[in-house]
Amino acid sequence: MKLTFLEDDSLFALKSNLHKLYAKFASPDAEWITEYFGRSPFIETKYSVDDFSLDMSQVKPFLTEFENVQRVYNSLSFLSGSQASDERLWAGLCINHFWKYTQYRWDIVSNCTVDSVKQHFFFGFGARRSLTRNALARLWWIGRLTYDPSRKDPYELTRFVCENADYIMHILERNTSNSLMITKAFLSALLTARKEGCLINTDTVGELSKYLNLLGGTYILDCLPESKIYDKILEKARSMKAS
Amino acid sequence: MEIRPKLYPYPVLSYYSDDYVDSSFDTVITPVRDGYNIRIDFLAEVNNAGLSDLLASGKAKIVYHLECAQTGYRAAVSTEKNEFSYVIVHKMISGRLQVCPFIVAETEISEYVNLNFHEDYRGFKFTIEEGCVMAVGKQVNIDVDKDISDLSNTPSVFSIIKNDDELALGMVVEFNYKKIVIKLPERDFFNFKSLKGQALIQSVLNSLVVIPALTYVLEEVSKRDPDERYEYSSYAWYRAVKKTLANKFSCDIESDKFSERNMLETAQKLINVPISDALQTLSSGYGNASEEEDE
Repeated sequence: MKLTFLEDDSLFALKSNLHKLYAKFASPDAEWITEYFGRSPFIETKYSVDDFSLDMSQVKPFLTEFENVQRVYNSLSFLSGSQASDERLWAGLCINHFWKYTQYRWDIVSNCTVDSVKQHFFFGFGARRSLTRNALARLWWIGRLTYDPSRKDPYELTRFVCENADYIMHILERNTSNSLMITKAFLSALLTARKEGCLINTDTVGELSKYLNLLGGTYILDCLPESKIYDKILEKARSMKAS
Repeated sequence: MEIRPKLYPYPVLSYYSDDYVDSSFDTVITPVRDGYNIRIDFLAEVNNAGLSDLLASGKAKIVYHLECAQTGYRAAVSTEKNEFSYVIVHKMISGRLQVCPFIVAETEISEYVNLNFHEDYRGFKFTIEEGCVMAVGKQVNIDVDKDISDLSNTPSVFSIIKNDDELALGMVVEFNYKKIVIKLPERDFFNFKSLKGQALIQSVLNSLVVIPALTYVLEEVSKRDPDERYEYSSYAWYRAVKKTLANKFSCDIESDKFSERNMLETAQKLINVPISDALQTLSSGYGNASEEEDE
C-alpha cells in the first residue's frame, strides 16, 4: 500500500469540529469523511509498503498489542523520528487504513466520546504522550523504544512491556525511554530481577521507574555505562524484595 | 531535559547557586544551518582552576545533553575541548531541541576538594561518582524550523476551515494547533473557498479574514507573561511569527517590548498591509469585472 497522510486543513477541520463529528467515528467505515470534505483528504507520501493487517482476534484487545507492535514496526521501521512524530501520518493511517483496528483496540463504538476519538485517532495530549496514545503511533513507538537487534529475540523487551498497559505508561512515557541504552539497561534489570524471584508488577515497575528518574537527577544517565544503570536498578529491585 | 535549580549532596558549580565562589561555567550555543541539517557550535568557558585541571586530565568532560521531546531524539555529546561542533541530521528532530550543558565526572573522583568551594564546604572532601554532575550551565532551547517538511510542504501558517456549529456566527479563531485555525460558518467558508483561488482578491480576503484573526492571536500572546510565551514554541505559527518579528521588526516576541506594541498595526505589517491593495481592487470594479467575465 502507498503510505498516506491526512492533509493539514482536513486534520484541523476534523479535530476542531470534533464536538460535532465524534459520533461518526463509531460508523462502520470512514466513507463519510470523503463525503464531508467532498474529496479525499489524504495525500500520498513517497513510501510504498507491503499491505499488512492487524490482529483483532482477542476478546481483550490489549492482548493483541505485542503481535501488532511487531507487525507495524516490521513494516514501518524505516520512518525517522521526525516523520513518526507527525500527527498527520498517524491520523491518516488510523482513518484511512486502520479504522476498524482503532475502533476495536480502544472500544470506540461503545465508548465514542470526544476525548476517546481525539486521543486514539488523533493526538490528544502533548507531543510525547500523544505518541503512546494514538492507536497506530503507539504500536510503532513501542517498537522503536524497545526493539533491540543485539538480542537473540530482538522483541524480547517489547514482549515484556506489552505484558501490562501500565508498564508502557511507567516506562515509555518518560523521557529516559528516548535513550535505547537506558531503556535496555532498565528493562534487562527488571527481567533479571524477575528471574531471581522479585515480584515484578505495576507497583514495583512504577517504583523502579521513579527510582530511575531520581538517578537521572544526580547522574547524567546517558554518560553512564549500560551495566552501571543495570546494576543500580537490579540492586534497588533486590532491596525492595528484601523489605 | 530541563535544567531546574536543585541541590546536590556535594558542591556543584552553577549560575543559580553559591556552592563555588569566584568561578563560572558559561557556554555559547549557536545553531547554524548545514544544508538540510543543523550544526551546533559550542563554546565553553570554565573559570575555575580545579575543574579546568579535571578537564585537562580527562577526569571530567564537558557534556551537552540534547533532547527533542517531540521526536524522541536524545543524545549526550561530550568533549574536553572548549570549542566544539556537532551536526544533527534534520530527520531526527522537529520542533524544540533542548540543549543542557554540564561538566560531568568521567571517572570516580575521590577526596575531591576545590579551592573555590564556598566557605561552608571548606575542610570537606567529597567522592564524586562517574557520571555525576559537577557543573551546570544555562539551558538553551533551539526551535527547529524546517524549510522542508518530512511529508509535504506546509506553506502557510493559517488554516481556514468550515465551522460545523450551525449556530456559529462570524469567524472563530483557534491557535492551539500547528497553524492558526480560522473557522468560518458553512456558507462563509464556501464563499471564501470559491474566492481564494483568485490572485486578485487575496488582499481583500487577507484584510477581511486574516488580519483580524492574527490581531486576535497576537493580543492573546501578549496577555501572557513574556517568560511563559515560549510554551507556544511547539506551534509552527508561533515560530514563524517570532522569526519574522525578530528579523523584520527587531522585536522579541518574548519581551515586554512586544506587549507594548499595537497589535492591529503589527498584524497588518506582518501581512504586508493588504488593505490598500484590497480597497484598490474593490474600487477598480473587481465585482463588475467578474460579472462581465461570467456573461
